[in-house]
Amino acid sequence: MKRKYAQPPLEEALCEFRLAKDVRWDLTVPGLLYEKIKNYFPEKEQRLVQEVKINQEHGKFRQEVQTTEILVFYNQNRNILTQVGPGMVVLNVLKPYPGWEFFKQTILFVWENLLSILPISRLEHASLRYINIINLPSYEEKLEEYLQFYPYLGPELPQEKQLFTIGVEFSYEDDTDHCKLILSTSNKKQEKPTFMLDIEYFTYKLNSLSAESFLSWLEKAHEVIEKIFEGCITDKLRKTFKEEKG
Amino acid sequence: MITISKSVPGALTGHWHHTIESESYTYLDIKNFAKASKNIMELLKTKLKSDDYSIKKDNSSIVSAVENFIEEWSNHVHFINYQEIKEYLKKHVELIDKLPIAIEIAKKHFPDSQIALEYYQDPEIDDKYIAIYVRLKDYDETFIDRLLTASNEIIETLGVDYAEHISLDTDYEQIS
Repeated sequence: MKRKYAQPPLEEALCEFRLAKDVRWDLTVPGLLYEKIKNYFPEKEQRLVQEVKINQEHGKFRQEVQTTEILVFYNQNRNILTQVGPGMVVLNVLKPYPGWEFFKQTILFVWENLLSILPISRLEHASLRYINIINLPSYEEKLEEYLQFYPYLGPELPQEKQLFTIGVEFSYEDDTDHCKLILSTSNKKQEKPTFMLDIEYFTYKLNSLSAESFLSWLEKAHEVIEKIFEGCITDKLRKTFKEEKG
Repeated sequence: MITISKSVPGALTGHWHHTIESESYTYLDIKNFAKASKNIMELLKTKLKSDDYSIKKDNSSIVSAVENFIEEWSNHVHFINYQEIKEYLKKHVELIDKLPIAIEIAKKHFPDSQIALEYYQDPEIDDKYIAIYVRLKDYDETFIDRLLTASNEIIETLGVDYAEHISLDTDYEQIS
């Protein structure tokens, strides 16, 4: 049975899809999409993101900083947003998390509207990601009493962990999909110990996902993430999230 | 195309993940971009004869984008109420690439200043924004005029739409 919490640690859930290179994306697409979804995402903003492109010419590497414009469409409360860049759409939900059914319907709302603008047969890449922030009551607490995924330090190593990042990647669907699990400490010392548990299910093989399989892929991705999350936590931590019964 | 992304917000050292053709590599505990880039370069030399690739930060996640901004700027500016700033930026993610521009302009006009950021909420009216405070050792009589000049340059550069979210000011604190 699926567990439901009154105070889940979820900070952000996001779903990203990148369209296959053969999709005829042009500059009008973000505007057309906005027209279709603006009743739900009325607030329009723009952000610039930078990436470093590196290519090799005559045996030498050349770097070039490229700036990409991303349009951001917010809902009225500014806690749910759609980001649209060249060939890419991201749906973000910030806390309070409205639940999977609502999030899924929002993803599908944007996805179906995008399909009505562009013929899409295949996705180059898709990912569903849940970022959780977990606080322990004090620095005296033992991590292993709260988590089932934590760094193990052999007896010859210093036992006091100040800051760490650990990660593992699981394979699914004959290695077509992967699920990445990362646990890290906050970079700033907080009043209480704070950890970030980041779980991302994504298509590992490029262009492996067809448009008609997108919904079933989403369900599968969510199911895996839920299982991984539950597998990471102990009952002691579960209690702090205040499980809702029935 | 190879994509490398910084994908763990809030981590001390950052975490880099990239995929080369069908193979995936994850780097943990890489202190900074330069080191990651160097490692990847070495890897590329052995893996590829020629190809293009791009490196980008994890921009898809709002939480990551905000954490990365705080991490990158915490050595250069003082965050007065860092938790509140984070919450405000999550709802105004477009400010993340505008704030560095405003800070650079402030630093250009006041090279010896300390810059502090504060999420400001007017207790009486619905007015919320990020205040960029210029702090100096000594505040002379030209200070306010110079502050106004810098403020106008910020508005001209970013556009008036951002004036309601970013404001250049001073709290007259001494440089700490």
